Amino acid sequence: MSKTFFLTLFLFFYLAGCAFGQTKFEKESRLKIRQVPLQARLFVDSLGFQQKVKWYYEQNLQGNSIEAKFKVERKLYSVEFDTVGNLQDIEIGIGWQDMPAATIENICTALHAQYTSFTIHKIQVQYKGEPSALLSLLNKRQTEEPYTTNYELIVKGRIGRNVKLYEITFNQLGILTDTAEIIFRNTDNLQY
Amino acid sequence: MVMKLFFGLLLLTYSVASNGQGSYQSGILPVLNVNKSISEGWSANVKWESRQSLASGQSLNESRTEFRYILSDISLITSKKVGLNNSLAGGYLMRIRGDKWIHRAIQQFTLVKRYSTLRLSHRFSTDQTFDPEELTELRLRYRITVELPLEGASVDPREFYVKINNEYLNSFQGKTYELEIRTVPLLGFGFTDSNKIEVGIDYRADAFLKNELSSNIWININWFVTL
Repeated sequence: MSKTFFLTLFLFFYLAGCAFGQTKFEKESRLKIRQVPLQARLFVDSLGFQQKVKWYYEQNLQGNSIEAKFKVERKLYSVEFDTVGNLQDIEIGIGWQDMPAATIENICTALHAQYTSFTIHKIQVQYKGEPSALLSLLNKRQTEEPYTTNYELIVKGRIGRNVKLYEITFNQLGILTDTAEIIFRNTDNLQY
Repeated sequence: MVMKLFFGLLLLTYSVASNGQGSYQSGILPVLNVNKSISEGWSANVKWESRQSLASGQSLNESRTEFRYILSDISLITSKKVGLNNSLAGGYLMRIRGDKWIHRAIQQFTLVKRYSTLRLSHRFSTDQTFDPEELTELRLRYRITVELPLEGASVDPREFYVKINNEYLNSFQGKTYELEIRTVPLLGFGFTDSNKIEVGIDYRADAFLKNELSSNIWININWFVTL
């Protein structure tokens, strides 16, 4: 009896230890409106959208941030701030029709060169700049102040027999600037 | 919202299960799932499952309460990723019931879809059960599973989630056909992405095609560990 008990106990701690040792720290949690820095709230309010805003606190190894997410005219907006409420960037889900033709051509050329075949799952435009510049850009669709435009694509790419999901960043002209492989969360509890 | 859905389904499952007119059995069903990646795209799953009966009878009015060990299942399944979201798997299960050993071959295809705030999995599987005292049983199964995080947009470490399974099992044995339906609402907690525990009710209904409803209600405790 005691042998079985100690064997079970050993197995429990061995399995628990193995599993805890492989953790990558990343956590996203909902925030109540009163927990959001005033500066961030005021910026989102000034965008003038009436939609319901969901606030998130994201913790990862690169640093923590606060994100406001909402939908306007079927497009998903994500406004990212640092933890004290300074604006970092604005990302908007878009389609091919929202991008300049020359940029699309450059992106397609780069993807054809990189992958045997590919499927685009999602496109986001990312704006970075001073709050006043981005506010004007979103409200009036133009601004005199400087800002940066990037395009983030979620791409299912095949290289030979390997199929993976990537987050690929292009600049305003459609020049590839960064590629990161997306690592999926564990699916064992959905499979067995 | 997700918790309301979970408790609603839990109550509904319990209410359907406890109002059943036919025979029933209830008990505890602890399951340990250990997963290990073998090489690029390949992984192995070792599962141990044990059934303990707490009560049974021809109807709820004639129920008999007793703690009784029923059986243990031990299985080994090897899985190969065949796409971004799909995997093919095959393996063997050994059922130990008293001094009787029953063997089962398992084949399955799983598709996991990821949405912005949930994950959905479709599992298509077949199995063949070889019992020395009975005709070989062939089953065709389909299971749909939804996983809903209770905080944020995905299940992160140290967060709760709700998982709901609904499975349809078509059984062919000799000239007989049976349909079993399983509904399993579970409350899960992820210690890490590779260490999760789930607790809920596993309700199984069969024999209703012959108007002889047979219900099995298990308190399901699942522990998933990835090494």
